[in-house]
Amino acid sequence: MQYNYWKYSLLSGIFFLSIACFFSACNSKNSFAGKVVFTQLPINNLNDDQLAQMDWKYLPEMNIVMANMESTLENIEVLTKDFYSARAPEVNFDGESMVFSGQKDENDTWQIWTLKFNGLEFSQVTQSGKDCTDPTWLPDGRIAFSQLIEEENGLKYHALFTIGSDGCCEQRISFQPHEDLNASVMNDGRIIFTSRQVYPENGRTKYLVMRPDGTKAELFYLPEDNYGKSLSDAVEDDNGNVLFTNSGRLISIKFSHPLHSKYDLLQMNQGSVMSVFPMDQNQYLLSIKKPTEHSFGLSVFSLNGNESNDFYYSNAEFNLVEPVIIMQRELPKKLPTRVNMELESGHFFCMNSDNSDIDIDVQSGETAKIQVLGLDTILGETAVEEDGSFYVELEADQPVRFQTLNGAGEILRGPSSWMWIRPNERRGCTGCHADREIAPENVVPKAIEKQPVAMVK
Amino acid sequence: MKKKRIYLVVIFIFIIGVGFTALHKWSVEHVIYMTGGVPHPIGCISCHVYPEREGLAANLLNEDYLSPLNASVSSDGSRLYVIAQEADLLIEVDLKTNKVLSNIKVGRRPHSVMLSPDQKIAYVSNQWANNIYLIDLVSHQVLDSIITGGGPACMDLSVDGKNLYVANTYTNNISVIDLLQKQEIKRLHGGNFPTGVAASPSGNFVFVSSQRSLPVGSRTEPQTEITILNAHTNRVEVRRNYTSAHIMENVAVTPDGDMAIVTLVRPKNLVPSAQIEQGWMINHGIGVIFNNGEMAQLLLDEPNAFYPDPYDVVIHPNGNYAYVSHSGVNIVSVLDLDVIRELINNASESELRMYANHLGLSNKYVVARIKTGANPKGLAISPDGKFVYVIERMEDHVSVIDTDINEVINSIDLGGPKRITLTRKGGKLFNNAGHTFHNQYSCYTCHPDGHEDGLTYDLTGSGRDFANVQTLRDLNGTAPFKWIGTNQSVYKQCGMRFSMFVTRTESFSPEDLDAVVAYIMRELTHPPNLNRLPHGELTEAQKRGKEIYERTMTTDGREIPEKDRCITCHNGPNYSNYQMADVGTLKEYDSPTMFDAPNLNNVYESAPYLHDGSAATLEEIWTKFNPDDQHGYANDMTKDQLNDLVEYLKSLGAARYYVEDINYNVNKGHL
Repeated sequence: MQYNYWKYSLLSGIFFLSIACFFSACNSKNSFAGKVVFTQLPINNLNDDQLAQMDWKYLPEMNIVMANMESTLENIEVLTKDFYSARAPEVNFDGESMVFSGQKDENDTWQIWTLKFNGLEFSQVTQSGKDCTDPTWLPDGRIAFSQLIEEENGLKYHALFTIGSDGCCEQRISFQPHEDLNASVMNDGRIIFTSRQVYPENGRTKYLVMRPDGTKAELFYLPEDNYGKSLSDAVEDDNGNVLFTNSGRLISIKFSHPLHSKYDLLQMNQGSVMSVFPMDQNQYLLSIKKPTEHSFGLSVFSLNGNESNDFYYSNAEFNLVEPVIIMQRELPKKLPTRVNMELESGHFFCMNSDNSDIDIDVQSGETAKIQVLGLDTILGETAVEEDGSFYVELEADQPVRFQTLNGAGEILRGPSSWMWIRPNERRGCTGCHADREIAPENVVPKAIEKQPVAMVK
Repeated sequence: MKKKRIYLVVIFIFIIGVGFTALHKWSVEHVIYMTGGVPHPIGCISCHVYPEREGLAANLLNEDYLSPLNASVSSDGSRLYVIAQEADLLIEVDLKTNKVLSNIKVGRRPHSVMLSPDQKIAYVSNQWANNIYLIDLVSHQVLDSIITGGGPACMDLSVDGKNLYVANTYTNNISVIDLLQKQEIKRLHGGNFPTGVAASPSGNFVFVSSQRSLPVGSRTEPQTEITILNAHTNRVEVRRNYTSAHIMENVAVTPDGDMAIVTLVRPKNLVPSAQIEQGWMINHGIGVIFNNGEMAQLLLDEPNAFYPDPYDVVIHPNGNYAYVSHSGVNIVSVLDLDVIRELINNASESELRMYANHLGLSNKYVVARIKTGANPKGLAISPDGKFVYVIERMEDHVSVIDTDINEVINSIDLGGPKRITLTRKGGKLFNNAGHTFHNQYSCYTCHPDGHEDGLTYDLTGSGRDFANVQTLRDLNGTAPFKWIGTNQSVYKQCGMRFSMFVTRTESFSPEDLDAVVAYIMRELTHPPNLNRLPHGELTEAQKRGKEIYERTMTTDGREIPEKDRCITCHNGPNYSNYQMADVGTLKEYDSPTMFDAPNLNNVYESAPYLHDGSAATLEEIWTKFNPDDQHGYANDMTKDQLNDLVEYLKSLGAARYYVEDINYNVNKGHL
């Protein structure tokens, strides 16, 4: 048999080439790592009021831009040049793609899109007939975002949804007449978002947290003063701090103790801040308008409020906001769920309805009943037990409020904030508007020893 | 011929392929069954090799760690004496060089060490041997041993150095030892599982903290005793209870004696476990007793961050700061005692009650949180207060904290194995709260020392079906698990449903689950049951009790149906037939179900009893909860017979001590 030189050379070549490709793939770095991605707002498209209230979610001609971050920005590239308008970039935890909200053409609704950096491959995630905005990645690869809800009665607000990155399985997860926006994910796996009541009257914007399945929504932080809508999305760094902007001020609160640990990071004379992104080594990338500037640029600050001299960039034609750096991040916790969409109700109980931090004088034992309110109806009433507890079955995924009544049917306290129950959720409270920092007493609430009172339509 | 060989090879490969496919299919189904219905990437080795305690594979895969627990510093600050609990050693460390000087062999499972006032003798409590060793610190020889009650734990000397007070955990009493006579002179009744001991500097009192709640009845909040002895009369001066608290592992008294501080856990076992957020499951903190008798509890947790398993507390000689080790999160907290004094002195009764549940208060008095190595347990403070020594049980190390800057400045290697085995990794996971939401509790929190905490919990969140926590000791061969017997393996027990109902966060990864299961199955074991005579024989009462346990006829001569005999359901090395049964113990708050016959190994230390903890004592199982003889025939017994039966039950030890009675054949139902 003759030795086939060419055949064996070819086979060897293919073999060694495969080996080389294999190792090269193993060792390939993300060539986009370290770049910064941000939103460009044309200066003239935004008035001061809109800017102050961060009301740029659906403005025209915004773009998402990527650049190298050296002492200034270099190799600036508009990523969304094929979009009429786009904003709110957020990089995935693996650093290889981003999600954003975009309006493909001028008359289109805003939808959620993803972009793979390698190959600049766009993919539309939502196919909603309503505007979608403020997307954020969840640790299981799904995306949370806000979608405009328009009720038959004319009420308009944004609710939170989740969806697979392939567009599958869209599910609503917040069910209150609130503007629920600016969602982001904390290290413990919960979603933190800004929330402002819009019905029956406008309320203060606050931060709520909840599990990604829409359960256990609770207050995280309430600004002490009423700054209207101007809270940014909140970000958590590696030092246990949660940072956000509030009417141009950069605020830090302790994750472990959010309600009473507020700290202003910058002096007012340092500038007005619109967005913050935590970098490594206790540094933060800010969208900031310095007193001497006419637009928001990007700058790096440290935790003690000192500006880094190593980087600054601004552009006279644009406000630069929502910066994120392309980098790998540690995955937050993936929280389990007990939501069962085959069920239609959940259960809620209160340990002691007399337990409250509302400054209204109510004698212990004066509360006789709880009234459960829907959007425009009274869903039902139930007597409270001698220990002040009550236990109800609520229709799932419907907004409800509570108020306490005395024996004569007069309102003692309430109505409470809106809340909802997910299918199969069990939820409890220590009291009616009780201090959030107080754990429950270790007792069996009397009401739980009986069947829940149904408050379903 | 060549073709025939090829055909044979092909057929052989085909048979192998078919066999492999069938075996693989079976193994996948087997794993799904054992892990609770979720496909799980574990292999045979996970269940059939890692948990093994003996054999070549077990020896190759595992190491003998030191697992230090407590320590004492010499009065000149030059030496640290460390108890290596799993190695049965007392380790002497030179604190100038931070090097181990010597390893001194002591008794079984040593717990604590105290130094004599002249620093010449070390007293070591041997928890699995019921005695104290007196060690000559010059010759390193055991000079003497002194018998104590069962399970001696922490100790403290009287101010005059004449007496040694020892908490006997397993027999609920406190030994008073006369050191001149070198013998126990009194044994006082303590709380439930007494552990910590601290003598007041005034010389008037001795405080003894307890781990478990007193019997309080079903659906009632725990009450855990701190026993205060009169050090002059060596009598119990007063018993005070902390409400809704337990696991009070250690106690310390301030230098001027104005207050005693005890570490404690505040379980929410009665609260429907609808959620874990906002401290709804378990909180952690300290208890304070002032010398005027006023008591208070304060949390060391924060609203979104918890500091579980507070183990030891030491107080700075200036009386201004206390240091608390949190074994579940690898932290030592530094507390400002002046702030605590002011807070409590200015509080009303209702405010004090509120403080005990206030998660936001700790930022007033916690001045520092110092990160340590894995599983910080015992603390020792240098006489000048400059250093706190932190015993890191899962590291075989001691961290040295500089109290001026509240930072770890040094680490002392005690000389344990450097290889971290799978089982050791599992031990770190078991003792760390990183796998629960906001670190609210670790496995240890409800299973201290691998046992159970003596409480029942509403884990369904419905106010019904309260479950009595069960021990994790010696689980090998005792499946199924849970009272209702639904879990075929510990993998399933600690798997996805565990994360949904208990930890409320991301479940263990397959690798971590392997490690935790290996640790639980291999390392957690019952202590010796010393309720028998010294060489293991039964006492006369226990022998009589054994006859009753194995009887087939009632006292009036009727045959007891086989299904109603104790030995039918409770036989074999673990005293269980692993079958489901209805023994008539369901209550109004229970869903209809049968129960898996529980193991009775070391049942004497597992109160309360029954699935819902409703029986405070073994006796109550039959005097209160067996009116129709559904849980074995008992109503024909005399009180003496019942007493004897209970005595026998108390003598049942771990499976490794089981001696089969070859005269009894359970199948034939007669002796």
